[in-house]
Amino acid sequence: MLFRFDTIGHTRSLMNELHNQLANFYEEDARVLNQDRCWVDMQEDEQALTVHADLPGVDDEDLDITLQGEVLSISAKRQVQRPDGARAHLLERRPFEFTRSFSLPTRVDPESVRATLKDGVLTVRMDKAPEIKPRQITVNVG
Amino acid sequence: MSESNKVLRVLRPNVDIFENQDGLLLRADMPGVRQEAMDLQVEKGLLTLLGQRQVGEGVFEYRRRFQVPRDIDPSKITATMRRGVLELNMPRAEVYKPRKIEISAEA
Repeated sequence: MLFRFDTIGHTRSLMNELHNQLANFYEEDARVLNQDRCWVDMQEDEQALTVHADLPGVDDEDLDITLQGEVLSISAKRQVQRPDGARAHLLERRPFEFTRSFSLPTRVDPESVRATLKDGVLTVRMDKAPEIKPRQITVNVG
Repeated sequence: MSESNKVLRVLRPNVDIFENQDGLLLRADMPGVRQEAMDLQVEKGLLTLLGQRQVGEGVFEYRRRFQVPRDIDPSKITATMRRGVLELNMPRAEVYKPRKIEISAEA
């Protein structure tokens, strides 16, 4: 069967597809690129929970971490200093002051909590409470 | 910076730029980027900021480009990295700085 190749229709459908792909691309990127909120993630392995938070420009003394039961709270603030007499061409880095609290998925050993702040990234590592760590049980042959 | 690092994501760092008589000051948030993983270049009036952050087996790459004004002397640009914030000092070339001209007294 012969048919006329519909150039306009074909181009339009290609453009629509491209448009959708671009929209997805930007949407996905926007999720990561939006740095207005502090970016936090939490990882779990058999032994421990680890929380990472991006805190660029935050000094040790402006950071407060507390663990109460199974709730971990991170408070941080930073100021954005403008040099004297300078005018701003671009202002994207926001000053912030916030507290974020997270319910931990398991109980942790409060004595084991270790927090480090390096290159603007906070890492909090907490060992799981001894009673919930997996334990190998040896069977004694009677 | 190792070539073998697989770039998982490209991020656009948030940036502040200030200007005064002496020149420009640029600050960029690049959390997780170590000083050694930072690459700064000025070529043909374009400043490129490139920073890699190790994430598991790969890297996140922060990238941003700016046009450098003509009155900035590229050879005088200095950079520091502190707490995940890059700071670039870009002094104005001496010839462009405002200067008061004194009139010599009549002989």
